[in-house]
Amino acid sequence: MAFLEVKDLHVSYGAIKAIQGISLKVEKGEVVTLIGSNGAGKTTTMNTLAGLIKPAAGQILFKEENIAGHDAPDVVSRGITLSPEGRQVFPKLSVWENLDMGAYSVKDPAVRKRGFEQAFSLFPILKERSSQPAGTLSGGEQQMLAVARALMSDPEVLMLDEPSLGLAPIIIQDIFNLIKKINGMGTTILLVEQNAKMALGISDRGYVLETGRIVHVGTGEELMKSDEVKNAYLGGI
Amino acid sequence: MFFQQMINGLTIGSTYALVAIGFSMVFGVLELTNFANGSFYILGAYLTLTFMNAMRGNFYVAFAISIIGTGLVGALMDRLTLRPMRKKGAPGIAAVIATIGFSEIINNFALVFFGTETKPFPNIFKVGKIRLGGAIITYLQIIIFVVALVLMLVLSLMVYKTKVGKAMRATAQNTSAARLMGINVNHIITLTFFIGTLLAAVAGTLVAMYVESVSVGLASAISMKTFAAAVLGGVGSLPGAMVGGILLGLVETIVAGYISSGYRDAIAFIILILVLIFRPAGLFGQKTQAKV
Ligand SMILES: Nc1ncnc2c1ncn2[C@@H]1O[C@H](COP(=O)(O)OP(=O)(O)O)[C@@H](O)[C@H]1O
Ligand SMILES: [Mg+2]
Repeated sequence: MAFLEVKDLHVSYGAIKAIQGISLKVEKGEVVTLIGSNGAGKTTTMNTLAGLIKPAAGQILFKEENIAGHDAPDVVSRGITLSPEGRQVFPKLSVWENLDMGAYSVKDPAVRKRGFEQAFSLFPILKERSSQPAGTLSGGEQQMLAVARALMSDPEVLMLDEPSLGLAPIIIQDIFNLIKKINGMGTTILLVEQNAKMALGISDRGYVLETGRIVHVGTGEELMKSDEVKNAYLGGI
Repeated sequence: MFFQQMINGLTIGSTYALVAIGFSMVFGVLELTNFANGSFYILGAYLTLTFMNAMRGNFYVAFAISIIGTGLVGALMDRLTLRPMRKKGAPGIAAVIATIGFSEIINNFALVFFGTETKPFPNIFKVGKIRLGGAIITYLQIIIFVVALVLMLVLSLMVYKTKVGKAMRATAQNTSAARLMGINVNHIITLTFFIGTLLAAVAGTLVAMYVESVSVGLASAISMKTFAAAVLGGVGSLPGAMVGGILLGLVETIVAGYISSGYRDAIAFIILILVLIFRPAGLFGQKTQAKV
Protein backbone atom coordinates (compact mmCIF):
# COMPACT_ATOMS: atom_id res chain seq x y z
CA MET A 1 0.00 0.00 0.00
CA ALA A 2 1.37 3.35 -1.01
CA PHE A 3 1.99 6.21 1.44
CA LEU A 4 -0.59 8.40 -0.29
CA GLU A 5 -2.91 6.84 -2.80
CA VAL A 6 -5.78 8.32 -4.79
CA LYS A 7 -8.28 5.81 -6.16
CA ASP A 8 -10.82 6.57 -8.85
CA LEU A 9 -11.40 10.16 -7.70
CA HIS A 10 -14.27 12.16 -9.17
CA VAL A 11 -14.79 15.87 -8.49
CA SER A 12 -17.51 18.13 -9.88
CA TYR A 13 -18.40 21.80 -9.75
CA GLY A 14 -22.15 21.56 -10.15
CA ALA A 15 -22.63 20.07 -13.59
CA ILE A 16 -18.96 20.45 -14.58
CA LYS A 17 -17.09 17.17 -14.10
CA ALA A 18 -13.59 18.52 -13.49
CA ILE A 19 -11.98 15.25 -12.37
CA GLN A 20 -13.24 12.04 -13.89
CA GLY A 21 -11.80 9.05 -12.12
CA ILE A 22 -8.10 9.63 -11.53
CA SER A 23 -5.83 7.29 -9.58
CA LEU A 24 -2.29 8.03 -8.46
CA LYS A 25 0.27 7.00 -5.88
CA VAL A 26 2.94 8.82 -3.93
CA GLU A 27 5.52 6.83 -1.99
CA LYS A 28 7.19 8.15 1.15
CA GLY A 29 10.13 10.40 0.33
CA GLU A 30 9.26 10.81 -3.35
CA VAL A 31 8.80 13.92 -5.46
CA VAL A 32 5.79 13.32 -7.70
CA THR A 33 4.69 15.83 -10.30
CA LEU A 34 1.32 16.39 -11.89
CA ILE A 35 1.58 18.17 -15.22
CA GLY A 36 -1.11 19.21 -17.63
CA SER A 37 -2.32 22.23 -19.55
CA ASN A 38 -4.56 24.96 -18.20
CA GLY A 39 -7.93 23.68 -17.02
CA ALA A 40 -6.82 20.03 -16.92
CA GLY A 41 -7.87 19.74 -13.28
CA LYS A 42 -4.54 19.98 -11.44
CA THR A 43 -5.68 22.60 -8.92
CA THR A 44 -8.96 20.78 -8.40
CA THR A 45 -7.02 17.62 -7.56
CA MET A 46 -4.76 19.42 -5.08
CA ASN A 47 -7.64 21.28 -3.43
CA THR A 48 -9.56 18.05 -3.05
CA LEU A 49 -6.57 16.30 -1.48
CA ALA A 50 -6.20 19.25 0.90
CA GLY A 51 -9.85 19.05 1.99
CA LEU A 52 -11.01 22.34 0.47
CA ILE A 53 -13.38 20.56 -1.92
CA LYS A 54 -15.39 17.41 -1.27
CA PRO A 55 -15.05 14.74 -3.97
CA ALA A 56 -18.14 13.27 -5.63
CA ALA A 57 -16.66 9.77 -5.44
CA GLY A 58 -13.42 7.89 -4.87
CA GLN A 59 -10.88 7.39 -2.12
CA ILE A 60 -7.89 9.30 -0.82
CA LEU A 61 -5.85 6.90 1.28
CA PHE A 62 -3.16 8.39 3.49
CA LYS A 63 -1.27 5.89 5.63
CA GLU A 64 -4.05 3.41 4.90
CA GLU A 65 -6.87 5.64 6.10
CA ASN A 66 -9.47 7.06 3.74
CA ILE A 67 -9.48 10.82 4.20
CA ALA A 68 -11.62 11.68 1.18
CA GLY A 69 -14.13 14.38 2.15
CA HIS A 70 -12.37 15.24 5.42
CA ASP A 71 -12.23 18.96 6.14
CA ALA A 72 -9.00 20.89 5.56
CA PRO A 73 -8.08 21.30 9.27
CA ASP A 74 -8.27 17.53 9.72
CA VAL A 75 -6.08 16.93 6.69
CA VAL A 76 -3.50 19.41 8.04
CA SER A 77 -3.45 17.74 11.43
CA ARG A 78 -2.76 14.40 9.71
CA GLY A 79 0.36 15.84 8.07
CA ILE A 80 -0.61 16.98 4.57
CA THR A 81 -0.33 20.67 3.71
CA LEU A 82 -0.87 22.67 0.55
CA SER A 83 0.85 25.77 -0.70
CA PRO A 84 -2.02 26.87 -2.93
CA GLU A 85 -2.02 28.22 -6.47
CA GLY A 86 -1.54 31.99 -6.50
CA ARG A 87 0.27 31.95 -3.11
CA GLN A 88 -2.68 33.22 -1.07
CA VAL A 89 -0.63 34.73 1.71
CA PHE A 90 -2.57 36.84 4.23
CA PRO A 91 -1.75 40.28 2.81
CA LYS A 92 -2.35 42.36 5.95
CA LEU A 93 -0.68 39.97 8.36
CA SER A 94 3.06 40.34 8.80
CA VAL A 95 5.42 37.72 7.43
CA TRP A 96 5.92 36.47 10.98
CA GLU A 97 2.17 36.25 11.56
CA ASN A 98 1.70 34.37 8.29
CA LEU A 99 4.25 31.81 9.43
CA ASP A 100 2.57 31.70 12.82
CA MET A 101 -0.73 30.85 11.10
CA GLY A 102 1.09 28.07 9.27
CA ALA A 103 1.82 26.59 12.69
CA TYR A 104 -1.79 27.07 13.84
CA SER A 105 -2.37 23.34 14.29
CA VAL A 106 0.91 22.80 16.16
CA LYS A 107 0.43 22.31 19.89
CA ASP A 108 4.05 21.69 20.91
CA PRO A 109 5.95 24.99 21.34
CA ALA A 110 9.24 23.23 20.55
CA VAL A 111 7.92 22.19 17.12
CA ARG A 112 6.76 25.74 16.56
CA LYS A 113 10.15 27.14 17.44
CA ARG A 114 11.90 24.65 15.16
CA GLY A 115 9.45 25.63 12.40
CA PHE A 116 10.48 29.28 12.60
CA GLU A 117 14.17 28.39 12.71
CA GLN A 118 13.82 26.14 9.68
CA ALA A 119 11.77 28.74 7.76
CA PHE A 120 14.32 31.47 8.41
CA SER A 121 17.28 29.25 7.52
CA LEU A 122 15.68 28.02 4.26
CA PHE A 123 14.40 31.49 3.37
CA PRO A 124 16.70 34.10 4.96
CA ILE A 125 14.83 36.90 3.17
CA LEU A 126 11.75 36.12 5.26
CA LYS A 127 13.68 36.85 8.44
CA GLU A 128 14.66 40.26 7.10
CA ARG A 129 11.07 40.95 6.16
CA SER A 130 9.46 39.33 9.19
CA SER A 131 7.61 42.39 10.49
CA GLN A 132 6.48 43.58 7.04
CA PRO A 133 2.89 42.96 5.86
CA ALA A 134 2.96 40.02 3.45
CA GLY A 135 1.07 42.06 0.83
CA THR A 136 4.11 44.30 0.42
CA LEU A 137 6.48 41.46 -0.57
CA SER A 138 7.53 40.83 -4.16
CA GLY A 139 5.94 37.92 -6.02
CA GLY A 140 8.95 35.67 -5.47
CA GLU A 141 9.10 36.52 -1.78
CA GLN A 142 5.38 35.83 -1.42
CA GLN A 143 5.91 32.44 -3.04
CA MET A 144 8.69 31.65 -0.59
CA LEU A 145 6.44 32.72 2.24
CA ALA A 146 3.65 30.47 0.97
CA VAL A 147 6.03 27.49 0.87
CA ALA A 148 7.53 28.33 4.25
CA ARG A 149 4.07 28.74 5.74
CA ALA A 150 3.01 25.31 4.46
CA LEU A 151 6.12 23.81 6.09
CA MET A 152 5.44 25.33 9.52
CA SER A 153 3.28 22.44 10.69
CA ASP A 154 6.12 20.03 9.87
CA PRO A 155 4.06 18.07 7.32
CA GLU A 156 4.84 14.59 6.02
CA VAL A 157 3.48 15.52 2.59
CA LEU A 158 3.94 18.99 1.13
CA MET A 159 1.77 19.82 -1.88
CA LEU A 160 2.81 22.73 -4.08
CA ASP A 161 0.45 24.12 -6.70
CA GLU A 162 2.39 25.96 -9.41
CA PRO A 163 5.09 27.47 -7.22
CA SER A 164 6.81 28.99 -10.26
CA LEU A 165 3.73 30.79 -11.61
CA GLY A 166 4.52 34.33 -12.67
CA LEU A 167 8.10 34.34 -11.39
CA ALA A 168 11.31 35.38 -13.14
CA PRO A 169 13.45 32.45 -14.43
CA ILE A 170 16.25 33.08 -11.94
CA ILE A 171 13.78 32.94 -9.04
CA ILE A 172 12.15 29.82 -10.49
CA GLN A 173 15.54 28.13 -10.29
CA ASP A 174 15.79 29.13 -6.62
CA ILE A 175 12.36 27.70 -5.92
CA PHE A 176 13.20 24.38 -7.55
CA ASN A 177 16.47 24.17 -5.64
CA LEU A 178 14.55 24.72 -2.43
CA ILE A 179 12.02 22.03 -3.31
CA LYS A 180 14.89 19.58 -3.79
CA LYS A 181 16.37 20.68 -0.48
CA ILE A 182 13.06 20.26 1.38
CA ASN A 183 12.64 16.80 -0.15
CA GLY A 184 16.20 15.97 0.90
CA MET A 185 15.20 16.76 4.48
CA GLY A 186 12.64 13.96 4.33
CA THR A 187 9.41 15.64 3.22
CA THR A 188 7.38 13.87 0.55
CA ILE A 189 6.39 16.26 -2.23
CA LEU A 190 3.46 16.37 -4.62
CA LEU A 191 4.07 19.10 -7.16
CA VAL A 192 1.84 20.69 -9.78
CA GLU A 193 3.65 22.56 -12.52
CA GLN A 194 3.19 24.07 -15.97
CA ASN A 195 6.94 24.32 -16.09
CA ALA A 196 7.03 20.63 -16.98
CA LYS A 197 10.67 20.29 -17.91
CA MET A 198 12.08 21.61 -14.65
CA ALA A 199 9.46 19.81 -12.60
CA LEU A 200 10.08 16.43 -14.23
CA GLY A 201 13.80 17.06 -13.82
CA ILE A 202 13.53 16.92 -10.04
CA SER A 203 10.74 14.30 -9.90
CA ASP A 204 10.88 10.59 -9.19
CA ARG A 205 7.65 10.09 -11.06
CA GLY A 206 5.07 12.08 -12.95
CA TYR A 207 1.47 11.96 -14.08
CA VAL A 208 0.03 13.80 -17.04
CA LEU A 209 -3.49 15.07 -16.61
CA GLU A 210 -5.78 15.95 -19.50
CA THR A 211 -9.35 17.19 -19.05
CA GLY A 212 -9.83 15.42 -15.75
CA ARG A 213 -8.16 12.12 -16.70
CA ILE A 214 -4.64 10.76 -16.34
CA VAL A 215 -3.22 10.05 -19.78
CA HIS A 216 0.44 9.24 -19.04
CA VAL A 217 2.35 7.87 -16.08
CA GLY A 218 6.05 7.31 -15.75
CA THR A 219 9.32 8.22 -14.09
CA GLY A 220 10.47 11.77 -14.64
CA GLU A 221 12.96 10.60 -17.24
CA GLU A 222 10.49 8.42 -19.12
CA LEU A 223 8.02 11.26 -19.43
CA MET A 224 10.67 13.70 -20.59
CA LYS A 225 11.66 11.26 -23.34
CA SER A 226 8.10 10.47 -24.45
CA ASP A 227 7.29 12.14 -27.76
CA GLU A 228 3.70 12.91 -26.86
CA VAL A 229 4.68 14.59 -23.61
CA LYS A 230 7.49 16.45 -25.33
CA ASN A 231 5.21 17.82 -28.00
CA ALA A 232 2.37 18.73 -25.71
CA TYR A 233 4.13 20.04 -22.61
CA LEU A 234 7.80 20.54 -23.24
CA GLY A 235 7.47 22.81 -26.23
CA GLY A 236 8.69 20.10 -28.63
CA ILE A 237 12.32 19.94 -27.47
CA MET B 1 -22.74 74.48 27.05
CA PHE B 2 -20.46 73.26 24.26
CA PHE B 3 -18.31 71.34 26.73
CA GLN B 4 -21.44 69.73 28.17
CA GLN B 5 -22.54 68.70 24.68
CA MET B 6 -19.13 67.20 24.05
CA ILE B 7 -19.38 65.11 27.19
CA ASN B 8 -22.88 63.92 26.33
CA GLY B 9 -21.81 63.21 22.76
CA LEU B 10 -18.75 61.28 23.90
CA THR B 11 -20.93 59.16 26.18
CA ILE B 12 -23.42 58.17 23.52
CA GLY B 13 -20.68 57.96 20.87
CA SER B 14 -18.71 55.44 22.89
CA THR B 15 -21.77 53.18 22.94
CA TYR B 16 -22.17 53.53 19.16
CA ALA B 17 -18.51 52.61 18.89
CA LEU B 18 -19.10 49.36 20.77
CA VAL B 19 -21.89 48.29 18.45
CA ALA B 20 -19.92 49.43 15.40
CA ILE B 21 -16.92 47.32 16.46
CA GLY B 22 -19.14 44.25 16.57
CA PHE B 23 -20.58 45.17 13.19
CA SER B 24 -17.11 45.64 11.71
CA MET B 25 -15.75 42.37 13.11
CA VAL B 26 -18.58 40.43 11.49
CA PHE B 27 -18.18 42.38 8.28
CA GLY B 28 -14.44 41.70 8.29
CA VAL B 29 -14.86 37.97 8.58
CA LEU B 30 -17.90 37.43 6.33
CA GLU B 31 -18.33 40.63 4.30
CA LEU B 32 -21.81 40.54 5.73
CA THR B 33 -23.79 43.69 6.53
CA ASN B 34 -25.53 42.64 9.72
CA PHE B 35 -28.68 44.66 10.29
CA ALA B 36 -29.69 42.77 13.44
CA ASN B 37 -27.43 44.71 15.82
CA GLY B 38 -30.17 47.11 16.91
CA SER B 39 -32.35 44.18 17.92
CA PHE B 40 -29.52 42.58 19.91
CA TYR B 41 -29.03 45.98 21.54
CA ILE B 42 -32.61 46.22 22.82
CA LEU B 43 -32.67 42.49 23.62
CA GLY B 44 -29.63 43.02 25.86
CA ALA B 45 -31.37 45.85 27.66
CA TYR B 46 -34.63 43.92 28.08
CA LEU B 47 -32.88 40.80 29.33
CA THR B 48 -30.84 42.76 31.87
CA LEU B 49 -34.03 44.41 33.09
CA THR B 50 -35.88 41.10 33.28
CA PHE B 51 -33.13 39.28 35.17
CA MET B 52 -32.65 42.27 37.46
CA ASN B 53 -36.32 42.16 38.41
CA ALA B 54 -36.15 38.40 38.84
CA MET B 55 -33.14 38.70 41.14
CA ARG B 56 -34.36 41.64 43.19
CA GLY B 57 -32.03 44.16 41.71
CA ASN B 58 -28.72 42.33 41.39
CA PHE B 59 -27.52 44.31 38.39
CA TYR B 60 -24.11 42.73 37.87
CA VAL B 61 -25.33 39.14 37.69
CA ALA B 62 -28.31 40.14 35.55
CA PHE B 63 -26.00 42.06 33.21
CA ALA B 64 -23.59 39.12 32.87
CA ILE B 65 -26.39 36.66 32.09
CA SER B 66 -27.98 39.08 29.66
CA ILE B 67 -24.91 39.85 27.57
CA ILE B 68 -23.82 36.21 27.40
CA GLY B 69 -27.39 35.14 26.58
CA THR B 70 -27.72 37.76 23.85
CA GLY B 71 -24.29 36.80 22.50
CA LEU B 72 -25.53 33.23 22.20
CA VAL B 73 -28.63 34.41 20.32
CA GLY B 74 -26.30 36.12 17.84
CA ALA B 75 -24.19 32.99 17.45
CA LEU B 76 -27.41 31.02 17.00
CA MET B 77 -28.57 33.37 14.25
CA ASP B 78 -25.43 32.43 12.35
CA ARG B 79 -25.74 28.70 12.99
CA LEU B 80 -29.42 28.48 12.12
CA THR B 81 -29.73 30.84 9.19
CA LEU B 82 -26.45 32.14 7.81
CA ARG B 83 -24.25 29.04 7.91
CA PRO B 84 -26.70 26.90 5.91
CA MET B 85 -26.83 29.69 3.33
CA ARG B 86 -23.05 29.86 3.07
CA LYS B 87 -22.91 26.09 2.68
CA LYS B 88 -25.30 26.25 -0.26
CA GLY B 89 -23.42 29.19 -1.76
CA ALA B 90 -26.37 31.58 -1.48
CA PRO B 91 -25.69 35.13 -2.74
CA GLY B 92 -24.52 37.65 -0.13
CA ILE B 93 -27.71 39.68 -0.30
CA ALA B 94 -29.68 36.65 0.94
CA ALA B 95 -27.68 36.70 4.17
CA VAL B 96 -28.23 40.44 4.60
CA ILE B 97 -31.96 39.94 4.23
CA ALA B 98 -31.78 37.05 6.70
CA THR B 99 -30.28 39.39 9.31
CA ILE B 100 -33.13 41.86 8.69
CA GLY B 101 -35.61 39.01 9.07
CA PHE B 102 -33.97 37.77 12.25
CA SER B 103 -34.00 41.30 13.57
CA GLU B 104 -37.75 41.61 12.93
CA ILE B 105 -38.34 38.29 14.68
CA ILE B 106 -36.49 39.50 17.79
CA ASN B 107 -38.36 42.83 17.73
CA ASN B 108 -41.63 41.01 17.44
CA PHE B 109 -40.82 38.66 20.32
CA ALA B 110 -39.77 41.65 22.39
CA LEU B 111 -43.10 43.38 21.69
CA VAL B 112 -44.98 40.26 22.77
CA PHE B 113 -42.92 39.42 25.85
CA PHE B 114 -41.93 42.85 27.13
CA GLY B 115 -44.86 44.94 25.88
CA THR B 116 -45.33 47.71 23.37
CA GLU B 117 -44.90 50.60 25.80
CA THR B 118 -41.57 52.19 26.70
CA LYS B 119 -40.24 50.47 29.84
CA PRO B 120 -38.55 52.42 32.62
CA PHE B 121 -34.99 51.26 33.29
CA PRO B 122 -33.42 51.99 36.68
CA ASN B 123 -30.16 53.94 36.86
CA ILE B 124 -28.29 52.24 39.67
CA PHE B 125 -25.34 54.64 39.43
CA LYS B 126 -27.32 57.77 40.24
CA VAL B 127 -25.10 58.36 43.24
CA GLY B 128 -23.06 61.27 42.08
CA LYS B 129 -21.66 63.71 39.60
CA ILE B 130 -18.61 65.85 39.02
CA ARG B 131 -18.64 69.52 38.06
CA LEU B 132 -15.98 70.44 35.56
CA GLY B 133 -15.89 73.91 34.06
CA GLY B 134 -19.54 74.68 33.52
CA ALA B 135 -20.39 71.09 32.75
CA ILE B 136 -21.73 68.21 34.79
CA ILE B 137 -20.35 64.73 34.35
CA THR B 138 -22.40 62.00 36.01
CA TYR B 139 -20.83 58.87 37.41
CA LEU B 140 -22.85 56.86 34.92
CA GLN B 141 -21.31 58.81 32.05
CA ILE B 142 -17.86 58.05 33.40
CA ILE B 143 -18.77 54.38 33.82
CA ILE B 144 -20.11 54.15 30.27
CA PHE B 145 -17.03 55.78 28.84
CA VAL B 146 -14.64 53.65 30.86
CA VAL B 147 -16.47 50.40 30.12
CA ALA B 148 -16.47 51.20 26.40
CA LEU B 149 -12.79 52.14 26.47
CA VAL B 150 -11.79 49.02 28.38
CA LEU B 151 -13.78 46.80 26.01
CA MET B 152 -12.17 48.46 22.99
CA LEU B 153 -8.75 47.90 24.50
CA VAL B 154 -9.45 44.27 25.37
CA LEU B 155 -10.85 43.60 21.90
CA SER B 156 -7.93 45.26 20.16
CA LEU B 157 -5.52 43.18 22.21
CA MET B 158 -7.50 40.08 21.39
CA VAL B 159 -7.73 40.75 17.67
CA TYR B 160 -4.14 41.90 17.19
CA LYS B 161 -2.20 39.92 19.77
CA THR B 162 -3.82 36.56 20.49
CA LYS B 163 -3.77 33.40 18.41
CA VAL B 164 -7.54 33.37 18.02
CA GLY B 165 -7.48 37.04 17.00
CA LYS B 166 -4.88 36.33 14.32
CA ALA B 167 -7.04 33.44 13.13
CA MET B 168 -9.96 35.89 12.88
CA ARG B 169 -7.92 38.29 10.77
CA ALA B 170 -6.58 35.44 8.63
CA THR B 171 -10.12 34.20 8.05
CA ALA B 172 -11.21 37.71 7.13
CA GLN B 173 -8.40 38.09 4.61
CA ASN B 174 -8.59 34.69 2.92
CA THR B 175 -11.03 32.06 4.12
CA SER B 176 -9.76 29.13 2.09
CA ALA B 177 -6.12 29.85 2.98
CA ALA B 178 -7.23 30.02 6.63
CA ARG B 179 -8.72 26.55 6.29
CA LEU B 180 -5.44 25.33 4.80
CA MET B 181 -3.69 26.52 7.97
CA GLY B 182 -5.94 24.23 10.02
CA ILE B 183 -8.19 27.03 11.25
CA ASN B 184 -11.74 25.88 11.89
CA VAL B 185 -13.41 28.74 10.10
CA ASN B 186 -16.89 27.94 11.39
CA HIS B 187 -15.73 28.23 15.00
CA ILE B 188 -14.10 31.55 14.24
CA ILE B 189 -17.30 32.85 12.65
CA THR B 190 -19.45 31.71 15.57
CA LEU B 191 -17.08 33.37 18.01
CA THR B 192 -17.13 36.57 15.98
CA PHE B 193 -20.93 36.68 16.06
CA PHE B 194 -20.91 35.96 19.79
CA ILE B 195 -18.54 38.83 20.52
CA GLY B 196 -20.25 41.25 18.13
CA THR B 197 -23.66 40.53 19.59
CA LEU B 198 -22.40 40.70 23.15
CA LEU B 199 -21.03 44.18 22.47
CA ALA B 200 -24.44 45.30 21.20
CA ALA B 201 -26.04 43.95 24.39
CA VAL B 202 -23.53 45.82 26.55
CA ALA B 203 -24.21 49.06 24.69
CA GLY B 204 -27.98 48.52 24.83
CA THR B 205 -27.96 48.01 28.58
CA LEU B 206 -25.69 50.99 29.26
CA VAL B 207 -27.78 53.31 27.12
CA ALA B 208 -31.05 52.06 28.61
CA MET B 209 -29.68 52.99 32.00
CA TYR B 210 -28.42 56.32 30.69
CA VAL B 211 -31.78 57.36 29.24
CA GLU B 212 -33.61 55.39 31.97
CA SER B 213 -35.84 53.57 29.50
CA VAL B 214 -35.94 50.99 26.75
CA SER B 215 -38.32 50.39 23.85
CA VAL B 216 -38.44 48.19 20.76
CA GLY B 217 -38.73 51.26 18.57
CA LEU B 218 -35.01 52.01 19.07
CA ALA B 219 -33.84 48.89 17.29
CA SER B 220 -33.90 49.88 13.65
CA ALA B 221 -32.43 53.34 14.24
CA ILE B 222 -29.53 51.77 16.15
CA SER B 223 -28.89 49.24 13.37
CA MET B 224 -28.74 52.01 10.81
CA LYS B 225 -26.61 54.31 12.96
CA THR B 226 -24.14 51.54 13.61
CA PHE B 227 -23.89 50.97 9.91
CA ALA B 228 -23.32 54.69 9.39
CA ALA B 229 -20.66 54.81 12.12
CA ALA B 230 -18.81 51.84 10.64
CA VAL B 231 -18.93 53.30 7.12
CA LEU B 232 -17.74 56.64 8.45
CA GLY B 233 -14.70 55.00 10.06
CA GLY B 234 -14.08 52.57 7.21
CA VAL B 235 -15.95 49.28 7.18
CA GLY B 236 -13.99 46.37 8.57
CA SER B 237 -11.48 48.55 10.43
CA LEU B 238 -11.60 48.34 14.24
CA PRO B 239 -9.99 51.73 14.91
CA GLY B 240 -12.35 53.08 12.23
CA ALA B 241 -15.39 51.69 14.04
CA MET B 242 -14.26 53.26 17.30
CA VAL B 243 -13.59 56.68 15.83
CA GLY B 244 -16.68 56.51 13.58
CA GLY B 245 -18.94 55.70 16.53
CA ILE B 246 -17.55 58.45 18.74
CA LEU B 247 -17.65 61.04 15.94
CA LEU B 248 -21.24 60.15 15.16
CA GLY B 249 -22.23 60.54 18.82
CA LEU B 250 -20.48 63.90 19.03
CA VAL B 251 -21.90 65.36 15.82
CA GLU B 252 -25.38 64.09 16.57
CA THR B 253 -25.42 65.58 20.06
CA ILE B 254 -23.98 68.90 18.96
CA VAL B 255 -26.46 69.21 16.11
CA ALA B 256 -29.31 68.31 18.43
CA GLY B 257 -28.08 70.90 20.94
CA TYR B 258 -27.38 73.79 18.58
CA ILE B 259 -29.75 73.30 15.69
CA SER B 260 -32.70 71.19 16.72
CA SER B 261 -33.12 67.84 18.41
CA GLY B 262 -35.54 67.01 15.61
CA TYR B 263 -32.57 66.40 13.29
CA ARG B 264 -30.79 64.03 15.69
CA ASP B 265 -31.57 60.82 13.80
CA ALA B 266 -31.23 62.33 10.33
CA ILE B 267 -27.65 63.38 11.05
CA ALA B 268 -26.30 59.85 10.89
CA PHE B 269 -27.62 59.44 7.39
CA ILE B 270 -26.54 62.82 6.14
CA ILE B 271 -23.04 61.88 7.30
CA LEU B 272 -23.35 58.45 5.75
CA ILE B 273 -24.29 59.85 2.37
CA LEU B 274 -21.56 62.51 2.47
CA VAL B 275 -18.93 59.92 3.36
CA LEU B 276 -20.06 57.62 0.59
CA ILE B 277 -19.81 60.47 -1.90
CA PHE B 278 -16.52 62.02 -0.85
CA ARG B 279 -14.58 59.26 0.85
CA PRO B 280 -16.16 55.90 0.08
CA ALA B 281 -13.43 53.97 1.92
CA GLY B 282 -14.17 55.87 5.15
CA LEU B 283 -11.72 57.68 7.41
CA PHE B 284 -9.60 54.62 8.21
CA GLY B 285 -10.45 52.42 5.25
CA GLN B 286 -7.74 51.50 2.80
CA LYS B 287 -8.25 51.01 -0.86
CA THR B 288 -8.15 47.27 -1.36
CA GLN B 289 -4.73 46.04 -2.34
CA ALA B 290 -4.72 44.65 -5.85
CA LYS B 291 -1.40 42.86 -5.47
CA VAL B 292 -1.68 39.10 -5.12
N1 LIG C 1 -14.74 27.07 -8.76
C1 LIG C 1 -15.02 26.50 -9.96
N2 LIG C 1 -16.28 26.47 -10.43
C2 LIG C 1 -16.55 25.88 -11.62
N3 LIG C 1 -15.63 25.33 -12.41
C3 LIG C 1 -14.36 25.33 -11.99
C4 LIG C 1 -13.99 25.91 -10.75
N4 LIG C 1 -12.65 25.77 -10.59
C5 LIG C 1 -12.23 25.12 -11.69
N5 LIG C 1 -13.24 24.86 -12.53
C6 LIG C 1 -13.17 24.15 -13.82
O1 LIG C 1 -12.61 22.87 -13.57
C7 LIG C 1 -11.66 22.53 -14.57
C8 LIG C 1 -10.31 22.27 -13.92
O2 LIG C 1 -9.78 23.48 -13.38
P1 LIG C 1 -8.46 23.54 -12.53
O3 LIG C 1 -8.48 22.41 -11.56
O4 LIG C 1 -8.31 24.90 -11.98
O5 LIG C 1 -7.37 23.26 -13.66
P2 LIG C 1 -5.81 23.51 -13.67
O6 LIG C 1 -5.34 23.77 -12.27
O7 LIG C 1 -5.24 22.24 -14.23
O8 LIG C 1 -5.55 24.66 -14.59
C9 LIG C 1 -11.65 23.70 -15.55
O9 LIG C 1 -12.49 23.37 -16.60
C10 LIG C 1 -12.21 24.84 -14.76
O10 LIG C 1 -12.87 25.74 -15.60
MG1 LIG D 1 -4.31 25.37 -11.52
